[in-house]
Amino acid sequence: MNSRASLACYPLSVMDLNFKNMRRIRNAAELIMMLLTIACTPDPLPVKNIPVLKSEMVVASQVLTDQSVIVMLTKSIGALDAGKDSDLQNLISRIIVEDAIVTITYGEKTDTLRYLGEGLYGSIDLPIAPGQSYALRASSPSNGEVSSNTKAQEAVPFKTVEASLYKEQSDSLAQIEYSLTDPPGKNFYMINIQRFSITQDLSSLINPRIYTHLVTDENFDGQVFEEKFNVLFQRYHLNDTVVVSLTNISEDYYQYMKVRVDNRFSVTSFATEPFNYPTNVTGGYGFFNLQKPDFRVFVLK
Amino acid sequence: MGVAQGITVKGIVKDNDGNKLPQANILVTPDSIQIITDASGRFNFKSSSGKKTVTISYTGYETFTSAFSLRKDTVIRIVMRQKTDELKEIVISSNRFLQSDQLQTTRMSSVTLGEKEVNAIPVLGGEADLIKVIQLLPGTSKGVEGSTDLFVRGGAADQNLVLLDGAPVYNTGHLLGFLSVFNPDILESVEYMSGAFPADYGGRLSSILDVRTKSDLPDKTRIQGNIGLLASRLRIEQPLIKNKLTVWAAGRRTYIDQVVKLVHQRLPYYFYDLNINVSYRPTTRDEIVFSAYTGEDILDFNGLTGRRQNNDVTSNFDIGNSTQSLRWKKNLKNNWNSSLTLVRSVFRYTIFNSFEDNKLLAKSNIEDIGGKWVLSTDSLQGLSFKGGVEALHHRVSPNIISTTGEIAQLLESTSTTMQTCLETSAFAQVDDNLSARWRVSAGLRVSSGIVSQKTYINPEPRLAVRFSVNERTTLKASYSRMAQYLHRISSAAVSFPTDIWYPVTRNVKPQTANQFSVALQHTIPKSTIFISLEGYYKHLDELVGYREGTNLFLNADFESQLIQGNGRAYGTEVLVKKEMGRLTGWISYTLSWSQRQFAELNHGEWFYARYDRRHNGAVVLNYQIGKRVSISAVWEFISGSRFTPVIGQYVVPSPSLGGFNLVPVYAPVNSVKLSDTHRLDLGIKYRPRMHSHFQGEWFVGVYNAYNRAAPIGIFVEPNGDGSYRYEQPGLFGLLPFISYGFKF
Repeated sequence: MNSRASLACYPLSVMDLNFKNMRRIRNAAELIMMLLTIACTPDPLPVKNIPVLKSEMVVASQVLTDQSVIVMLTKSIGALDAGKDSDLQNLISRIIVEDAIVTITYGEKTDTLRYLGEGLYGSIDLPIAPGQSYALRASSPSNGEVSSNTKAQEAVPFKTVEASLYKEQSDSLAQIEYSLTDPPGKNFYMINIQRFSITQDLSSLINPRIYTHLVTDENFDGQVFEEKFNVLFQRYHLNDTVVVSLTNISEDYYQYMKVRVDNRFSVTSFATEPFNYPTNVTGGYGFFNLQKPDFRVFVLK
Repeated sequence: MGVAQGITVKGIVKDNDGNKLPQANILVTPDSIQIITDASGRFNFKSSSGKKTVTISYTGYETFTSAFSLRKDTVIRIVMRQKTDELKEIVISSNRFLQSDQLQTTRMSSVTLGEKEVNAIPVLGGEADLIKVIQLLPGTSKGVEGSTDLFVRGGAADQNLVLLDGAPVYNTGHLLGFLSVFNPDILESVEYMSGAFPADYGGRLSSILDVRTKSDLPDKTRIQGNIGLLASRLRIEQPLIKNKLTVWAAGRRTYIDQVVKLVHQRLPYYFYDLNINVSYRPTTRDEIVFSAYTGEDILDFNGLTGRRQNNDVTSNFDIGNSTQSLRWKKNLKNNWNSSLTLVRSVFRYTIFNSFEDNKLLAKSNIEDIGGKWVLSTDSLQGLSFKGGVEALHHRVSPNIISTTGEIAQLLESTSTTMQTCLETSAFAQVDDNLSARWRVSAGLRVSSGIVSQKTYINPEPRLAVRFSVNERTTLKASYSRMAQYLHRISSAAVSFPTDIWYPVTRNVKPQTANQFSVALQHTIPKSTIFISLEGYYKHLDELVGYREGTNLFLNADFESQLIQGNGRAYGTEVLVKKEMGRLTGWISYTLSWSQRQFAELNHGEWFYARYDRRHNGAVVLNYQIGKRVSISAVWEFISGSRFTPVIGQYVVPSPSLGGFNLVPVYAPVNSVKLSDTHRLDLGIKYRPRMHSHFQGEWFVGVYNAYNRAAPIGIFVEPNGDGSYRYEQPGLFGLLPFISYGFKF
């Protein structure tokens, strides 16, 4: 081989060697990746011997006016009986309790609520006096008995409230600015913001995305309180319709909502802390409240 | 002529290849002196003048007996011969710390492992792992599959004291606990105790894992390493002054993040370990060893593009330990030994997330500084004595959270007040032969935890007794009381490396445990089989938990939510271990119960602990086919752990009345048992070359050979047709591995 030929071969053989080495390394990397991907995720195992939850009545209530209240009675179901994707109407129809006798006792009087359909029992002649104690009793031949006691909360409306669009660099949030006049004494407030749409699917009403903001009056007892905050973790758009509500709630209900709000950080069901939410219903679930929210509807500008 | 016992006899026991023989049994008659050689094969004792007979036994070697007349201080050098019938086949002892050596001592509920034993067993990803081997021993239950948590005799994961050359290690796992932080190439010995605790150990209720790194003095440079699927490691050892000064360094890193780059993928995670050790013997009586460790897991999503262009999200998580240890051992006059250890240990993690103006920084940190001094002798008029003091100062910053931007509205900047706690203890222990059959070990440790405005003091008596039925069978019993001044607060569902460590305070008391155990031990010398049958009962007080509904995640104010309760655990453990020959390994089985009781939980009634796993068994086998090939197998069976699944739900209007919420209802605490788990791991080692200077070894195998799930919980999953089902998913299926180790 003459020198010119050898010079011609040298750079070519170095390049060829480098290319071969890179290819070897690449092949080794692919082999390693293949070995790792051969690793299978095993099939989950079936589950046996899970205890069955005894069905109990669930209480929810809402004050409509100073003289009227609605109580909703449903029954608890098994863990496999429904989920986030379930049909809402079908779900409600399966769980409503229609045969109960529901009474509310206050002072020396007892009012029997009338069945209105869809698990709802109401009264339009029940005076709601802030600070007054009320005792609920519900008895159903097919679902047993539940009882609960609560005190009516003073309705505290918004003094002022505005909702607007708040633009950040890449996000647009809803911003709420409000004020209220706090009555003297210990008070707890819940402010909820929920977006609605005409085209909203009914299924989105199961576990809807609601932003809940909880406030106590420990720093402004008996005074006017003003606050502004942004609704996080949801992107809002121009002309979105949002409903903002303010409710003066009982301390029990505040603690219940605080636990629910705190556990929103649970990343996966795997790491979720198993915890049965508190209830003020004896023999059942849910909450018996006599609190009146102040609702406002806004179109975001 | 009666002379007080003032004559010193020292010696060393070696084999005919010059290897020092540790833990060799030495019996001196008629004085009834019974001792064992130390890690360097050395011994010493005091006796009176006169005719003596010394008998030395060591598994696999012919018993040495010699009579001599003792008149003055004497040095003996003994060379043991291997048993001739065992020379006909390959004698494999993957562990030079033999279980059978503890037969005539008061030791029970303990195992000592060496590097070879740890490396012989195929585990997750083919990476040899000390903690995974410990989890195959009786009495030791594991948590979620793959994790390094240990639940020992009904205890919790924070009740295990893990020491690296005397320094505490808080986070023992990489990859969220799937691999331990211990590089297997650095291990000299690992002593694991789950009961009958000697008085010089304390600080945790359930177990002590005392890991010692190599500190011998080689006469030439040694290099060893391993290239595996998950990580690779390298250790270099260099003598600097012959027989006096040696230094070694070892590193391990996962490189899967670099490998995936070559196939155009991104995995922003890696871990590393770095160990260094300097061993110095300035005189024949002094040994000074400095060792240090640092290791970290880093998850770095720095600069990943967000949903919009030019919009970066940064998310970093790093967690790690570092330890430093300086140990000075000195042989004093009159056969006394002194050991002084100074340690420092740091555990910290940092979480940092940022998106535009929003920033979240969460940090936690523990720093320990302390020391331990032990004075001991084996020659105190026939007694062995060990006594000393220990102090460890903890500085704990459990949770520091800093937020800016919109996120601050949701999560205010807070920090848990930094806590300091000084743990001190004084201890003494005496071992004595009451007669030819009876031996007793009696000790007392008095510990204290000193915090602002409160001092807790706990006496911790320790007692162990051995009765020799015959030379191959012993009955043993022990009692230990332990106190713990530092607690780890974990979720009931699963523990994470980011769980909070918290010291005792004025309101949070120390945890304590009282443990009784009895054991029957038997050896079959011809087959080198060791059999142990042991039973225990443990009662635990002031266990730390928290009120239902407490959110521990990024919560700086949780002390008010802590509660304290009780626990009880009992069970039976069986261990059959074959320690030499072509076939080595063990069979372990545990039948156990573990329960808890808190006034604020489960209506104050007792309930099963999360990791109450009724049956726990393992078959671990290693078979040397020839000089170059060995096969290993692990089959493990373990009852399902306890879980609290969702068993029901109810519907309530949402707080805004704009929909409905499904609220879960859970079963009573830990009332449901997950499915039992069993798994088969197989491995084969092949050494293609057997040159004197270079040794290479391939290790190929498979983890979970028949791909069975080890359930992590019970969850509700949709079927796709509107119905739902329960299922128990597992994490790891069949996982092949391949690695190459080398040594020269």
